[in-house]
Amino acid sequence: MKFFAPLRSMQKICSPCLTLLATLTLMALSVENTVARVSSNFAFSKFENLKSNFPIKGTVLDELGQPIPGVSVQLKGTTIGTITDINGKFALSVPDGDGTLSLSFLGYNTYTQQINKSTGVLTIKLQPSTNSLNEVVVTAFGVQKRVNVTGAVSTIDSKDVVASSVSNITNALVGNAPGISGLQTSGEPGRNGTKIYIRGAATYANSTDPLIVIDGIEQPNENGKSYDQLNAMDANEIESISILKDAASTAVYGIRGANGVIIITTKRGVNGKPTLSFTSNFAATQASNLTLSASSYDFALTRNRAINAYNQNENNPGYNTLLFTPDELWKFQNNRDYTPAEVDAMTFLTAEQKASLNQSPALYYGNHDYYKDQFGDTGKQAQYNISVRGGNEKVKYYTSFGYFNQGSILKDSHLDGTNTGSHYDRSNFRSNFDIKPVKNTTISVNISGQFGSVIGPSFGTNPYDNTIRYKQLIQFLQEGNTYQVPGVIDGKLVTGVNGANGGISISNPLGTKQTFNSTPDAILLQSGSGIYNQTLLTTSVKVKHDMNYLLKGLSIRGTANYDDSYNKYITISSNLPSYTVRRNPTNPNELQFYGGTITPININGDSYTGTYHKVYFDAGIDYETKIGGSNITALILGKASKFSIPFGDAFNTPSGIMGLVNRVTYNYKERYQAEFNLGYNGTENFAPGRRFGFFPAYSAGWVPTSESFFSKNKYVTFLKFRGSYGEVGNDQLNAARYLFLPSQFSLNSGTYYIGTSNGTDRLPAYTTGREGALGNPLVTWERSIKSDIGAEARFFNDKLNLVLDFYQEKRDNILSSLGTIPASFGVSNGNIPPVNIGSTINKGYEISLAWRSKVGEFNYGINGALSYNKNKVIYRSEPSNPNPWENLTGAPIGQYFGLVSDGFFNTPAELASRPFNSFNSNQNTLGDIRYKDLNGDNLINERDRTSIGYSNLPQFSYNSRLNLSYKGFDASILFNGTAKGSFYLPQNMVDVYFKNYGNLYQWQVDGAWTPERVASGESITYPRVEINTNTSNSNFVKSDFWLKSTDFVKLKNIEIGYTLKDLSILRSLKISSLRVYANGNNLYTFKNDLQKFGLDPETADYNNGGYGNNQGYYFPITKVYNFGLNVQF
Amino acid sequence: MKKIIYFLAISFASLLFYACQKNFLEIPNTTGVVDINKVFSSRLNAQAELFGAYKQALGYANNGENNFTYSSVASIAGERAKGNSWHPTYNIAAGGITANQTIFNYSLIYTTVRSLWIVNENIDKVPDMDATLKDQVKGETKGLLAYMYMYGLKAYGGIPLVKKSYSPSEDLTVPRATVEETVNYIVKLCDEAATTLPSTWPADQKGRLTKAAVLSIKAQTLMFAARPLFNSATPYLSLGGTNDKLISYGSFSGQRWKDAINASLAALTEAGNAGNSLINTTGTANVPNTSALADYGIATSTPGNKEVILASQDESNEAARYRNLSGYWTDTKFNNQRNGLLGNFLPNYRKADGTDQDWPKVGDAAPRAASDYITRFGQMEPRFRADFAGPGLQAANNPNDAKWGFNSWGVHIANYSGTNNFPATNDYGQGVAWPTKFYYGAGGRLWYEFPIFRVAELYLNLAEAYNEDGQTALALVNLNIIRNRGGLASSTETDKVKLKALIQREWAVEFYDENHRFFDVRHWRLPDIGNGIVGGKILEFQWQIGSASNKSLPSNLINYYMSVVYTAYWNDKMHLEPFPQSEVNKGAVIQNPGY
Repeated sequence: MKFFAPLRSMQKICSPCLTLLATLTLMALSVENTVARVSSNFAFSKFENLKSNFPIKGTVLDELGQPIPGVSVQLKGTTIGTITDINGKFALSVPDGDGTLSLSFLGYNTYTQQINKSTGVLTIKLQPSTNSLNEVVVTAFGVQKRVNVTGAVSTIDSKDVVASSVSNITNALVGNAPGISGLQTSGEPGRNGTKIYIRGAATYANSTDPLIVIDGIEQPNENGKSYDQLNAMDANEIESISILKDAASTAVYGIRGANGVIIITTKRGVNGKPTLSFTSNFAATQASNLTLSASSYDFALTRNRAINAYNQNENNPGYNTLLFTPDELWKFQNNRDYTPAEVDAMTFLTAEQKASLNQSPALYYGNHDYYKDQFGDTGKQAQYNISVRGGNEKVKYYTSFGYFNQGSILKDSHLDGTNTGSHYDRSNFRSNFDIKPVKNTTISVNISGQFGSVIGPSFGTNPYDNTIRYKQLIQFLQEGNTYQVPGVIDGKLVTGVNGANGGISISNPLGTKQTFNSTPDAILLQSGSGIYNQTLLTTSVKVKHDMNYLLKGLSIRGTANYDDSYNKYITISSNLPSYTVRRNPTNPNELQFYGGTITPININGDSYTGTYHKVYFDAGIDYETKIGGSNITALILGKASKFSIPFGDAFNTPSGIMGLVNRVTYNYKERYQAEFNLGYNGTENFAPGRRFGFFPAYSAGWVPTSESFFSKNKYVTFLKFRGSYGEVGNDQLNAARYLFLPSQFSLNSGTYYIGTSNGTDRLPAYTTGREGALGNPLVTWERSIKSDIGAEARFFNDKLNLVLDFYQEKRDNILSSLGTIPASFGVSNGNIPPVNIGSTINKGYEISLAWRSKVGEFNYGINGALSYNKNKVIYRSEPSNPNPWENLTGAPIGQYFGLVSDGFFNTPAELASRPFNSFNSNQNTLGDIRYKDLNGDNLINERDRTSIGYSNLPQFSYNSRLNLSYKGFDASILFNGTAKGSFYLPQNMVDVYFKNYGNLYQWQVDGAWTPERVASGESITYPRVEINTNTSNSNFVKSDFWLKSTDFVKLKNIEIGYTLKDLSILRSLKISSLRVYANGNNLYTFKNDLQKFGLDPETADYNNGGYGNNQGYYFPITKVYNFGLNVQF
Repeated sequence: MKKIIYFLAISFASLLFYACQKNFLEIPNTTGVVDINKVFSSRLNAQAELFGAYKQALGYANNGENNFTYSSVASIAGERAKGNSWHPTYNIAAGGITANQTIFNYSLIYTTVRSLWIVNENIDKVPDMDATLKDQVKGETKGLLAYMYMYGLKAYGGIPLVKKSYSPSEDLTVPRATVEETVNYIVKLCDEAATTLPSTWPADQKGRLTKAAVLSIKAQTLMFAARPLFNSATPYLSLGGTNDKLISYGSFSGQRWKDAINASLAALTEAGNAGNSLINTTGTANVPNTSALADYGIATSTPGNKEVILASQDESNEAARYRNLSGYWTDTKFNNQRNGLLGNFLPNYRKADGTDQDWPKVGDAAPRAASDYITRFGQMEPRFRADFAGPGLQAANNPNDAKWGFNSWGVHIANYSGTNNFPATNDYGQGVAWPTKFYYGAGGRLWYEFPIFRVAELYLNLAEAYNEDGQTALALVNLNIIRNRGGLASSTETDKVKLKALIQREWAVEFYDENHRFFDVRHWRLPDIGNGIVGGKILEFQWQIGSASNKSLPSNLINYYMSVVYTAYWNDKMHLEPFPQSEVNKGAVIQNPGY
């Protein structure tokens, strides 16, 4: 594919340029259009030609006196206009004091105001149109009035997303709406997205990722690309976020709707003169918490104890050579390489040299907390966004440019120009145009580009393979120790010490008690740099044509969209010279360095390519009519998309889905609602004839407060009950494609050698073939049947707002493979044909309660939401286990399984009466974890594994937000928390002295079992410390001892802002408003059982592993302190 | 009007929908994906599939035998030390084999079986292949099936016999066959294969199964059928009732030894026809071979030598690494450590003059000088010197190659300490000597061909089987052929019991680290298996050295002694391997006793 390389790089340069060009052209057109209109219309030109010199300012408030941002303010009959800022303020210059202002906002009555010559300052209170129920919600393929929505839809305020000052939209979603939860796998810039769950998980075999829809375009679910575009969005571009949770709202997405849908809508142009808004943020990020290593002295003391324990328990003095002498303990304690006596004995030194040596900090007996060294930096973050928004009758436009740069907490040594930190650099560009060339047709053109660059140490060839990446980044922290010689001394990269593991000498007094595992900073410096460039361009054109001339209420629409993502990973190897260090034997005051060969730089530009393209089309017919009090809308729409990975796709075909969307809504005077949604979808994954499925959903609502019998009162101002029932599906199984195809064979699965040998050279190599995945022609989609009952109520003149939802989801026909196929079938687990088997149930409730009111000019609002979700595997194909507690069937999805711990063996009597432990040949001693023998066979083995704790995704999640504003001040505080979730600490995070030299943590020192601590009744949180834990130690068998609760309460976000306006200095700068603010995210955790392990409670346990598991490598999750400025012109 | 619009709308939509289906829901063409018909539509593709099955059956990390990462069965057979803590053998040595901790991969037997049946069942479809070759391919697949089942038999006893490739919609239950059924089926497969297989392949096809190879499989199978683990009225542990037949014959029969003799004779004859013979350049009957080191070295190391009837021709470096054999001086030293020759195994080797060597023992009053080691090493029989090197020594199998000299050992090949710790244990794993087998004259070559059947095996089969059958004289003849080739004088032992011990010792020495001993000691039901052979106290040399950085320099070695380095686990249940617990849970197999 080398041939295409220049082509691709050209495309890379050209595409952004073309996009920019297109935007500029369109903007020019829009200006031209305005000018053209001026000359053609005398009435307009009258105003235009006059000098705009009459300033008007004002504030727009809602019915409760809260400011409304985004209200369009326009001088009637002209193009002079603006929109209100985040505090509901606007400022406008009009030609004279005679005009009339028109203020309009979706859901509110249009308000007109004669301009008052005398004051020029206005406070305008908008009244909700009809009643207080005209808020609109973006739903699938349309917008609905909140009052008429019969499905379960939550919305997230875009303001709250902006305020979270995080780089990923997914991180900002969690804690901001009921029914949405998430776990984060990494805190590294550019790789720190959150895995989102809507109403928990309902399948054990497949992805639980929701479908993401951005401006009506479904994001690809294939190959884990669903979050790509969302995570690279600039939060400032977002107008609204809707979370669709039940079948009524997701059925039209059919085969991709089972896990819920997130709809993102970006900002669009509004009528009025251009409003320029500039936002700038500067932030600092830090690890939210880090584990603390024990000091070298504690390390040495404790290892001596561990060696003695081994010697005693195993009757084996094998590790005695590693015991530290009292002198050495003194050295660790005092940070010296030689005791004063040893220095004295060095007769070849002058008195001066001796004195100096007595003061010389240790090289060999030092103390470094490498965890803190590596992750303790403060990452700088900067964000800028500039946007223009405006328009007229013909053209409305919104254009935004954003730049985001995030530095990392990862140590950046800057040694010889190297860069070992992790950085994320992103430019965003979005341009949304709505053009009305003729009266009944609107053409909307959206163009956006995301240009990201993730820079960091290069580990592995796939920049998204966290397994390899974080293993190499973190294992040396775990396997090294605090007295290892640092990786950088005197500006030199040190990769060895003289005589590591060698004999004792002046230049290496530690001898064999030391190893030289590479130190973490040396590993970082030697890893080289990896630059992952990600470009995603999206272009879509939507056309809407009203056909009122044919039939009133009829319109047609169509969309064409093209997404192009090309990614490239470039790795640049490190060419730093590396040295071995020692103390000079003739004068130990001096350090001597050996080595220092410079290796050539190696640049690999083809490490990884993650290119994909996607095309999407839809076309549909909308119809709406009003017959008496009945409002009816109907939609029929066909859609199809193709997703292709041009390189490395085994099938060489794009993967496609297509579907029909059908919706009929009915409401009678906004009092009774009924809705019918139908998705009819087809997917390539199933055999022709089995590809298409119907996904219907029925829903209804009733608003008693609109009934004539319901007397109006101020206590209950609004009541609504709604319910839905429907079916959605899932067609994905581990990103496998064409599940129905017959068994596939590979003709190139390795090499075997055949021929007659000459004894020296290899024989001719023959490629070999092998059977691959087996297909199942009968396979079909996984089905999810969802029902939801909800209530919405408002009390006390709408001050108190309550939303309640109860839901249940049943999954069946789960796409999975049978767990009962015997090995003698001869097909490896990964190749067993998929079947539709297994079912689960998932249910829960969501409550959200909000109060907002004001006292004088003091506005306040408080809201809270609680979500509960519980699921259970009803049936899963698994072997018939001898004991019921071993079964996955009946347990929640993602349930942890393991032994049940029961304290420690504290006395010889307890030890003597123990059941036989088959995990370690029964070689227990005092201080080991005691396990429960569940089946009473006096044997601790696999039979005693049962469900322990909960799953990683918590059952409860809650959040509460407080909003305050007084005059120019505003503040918001968000708390969130979860309950009933678990996290498993794998062995490599908790064991001691890995390969005799591995790290020891302070919590282990503090909590370890010793007879003395047992006797004094102290709480013991760690078993006995013994060296060589692998052999005779059952303490790390997967058990509830290492399963920790993730329950937490967090101060998730605070924002405090002050808005300046009406200042003459601002006016002279043509600034209509200026807001300064500070916010912080993930600030403080009040309760966190994972604190001492350096983990954030929202960390995803991406490997539900256990014994022998090597997956405890977590890049710390960060907190952010941010200062920002927003200027509107 | 409205109706017309509805009608138009719906027909427009449906039209669009169906028109687009072909474009949006494509079915891939076959580029890159191959179905079974395509595989067997050409000779080349079918050959790739056949060689794929070869790789699965005989390559590394594919069949049950070689499925271990950086470890070998020798490490839990009393031959080599248990390895590093991340080697699977490490935990097994410490805690024994359990249903979830075994070195064998049961399911790999059957993925290989399936591949073999697919070739066997479909080879007739290939248009551009002549009928003779098709018959030969069928013979190869049957022979390899026999080989896989022989492995299963040795490791598990009676196992499920899959006699075709199943389709997913069929009933997939295949219960365990009895030991007798398994043996008979293997014999049947071998007999069928032998009728169609050639004695030799053309030079460019060498490495494929020959008639001698399948006859060797048959011979080894019948040897294991005759050995006491199966050939006994009472099994090693009881499974209860008729299930005992899954792990034993349930009766002793002397005929089984006679069958083994006949099969071995047939294989030996056929091997002779095919040009395979023992490499013994100077020896005649009852005269020790004077170039034993070279002859034995070539027989075990040189690719394609005439003594090898069948080898694993997987010449990748990985294949060597997987068995901890790769480049001692440079490659993955990290993983190759702690797999030295055990002191427990050391007494199997004699001095070149046939007498036993006086090595240090646990409990000696004082350590011995390092020069004693070098002297005694030099006195050892040729096969020892071909198979091992030690600290302070140039490897005798690559005598003039600096890479194999003590200056070049990148790894520590001795358990050492800078201080005099006698009699304490300093370390474990480096053993009493360091294995160099399979690399005779290899120089810088990393890859090797692991010998699966050597002609020597057939002679030892005969020696053991004749002795059991009471034909001591014939047993001695065959034993001495191997002893003489190894440079030792003939034995004249006529006592059946003593001769048996001598033959077993010969198996140990001749086939060190060739995946024999693990099974041999189990199937012989040696009474001391848990007491120093596989389990029990494990012995290695400890060294006191000076301070130079190269631990292997003769001048740096001070003294050495024998110590107990660890205790290895043994339990009688370990005579046969456990089936994976998941298979037992699925109800697919009856678990072997004790697990």
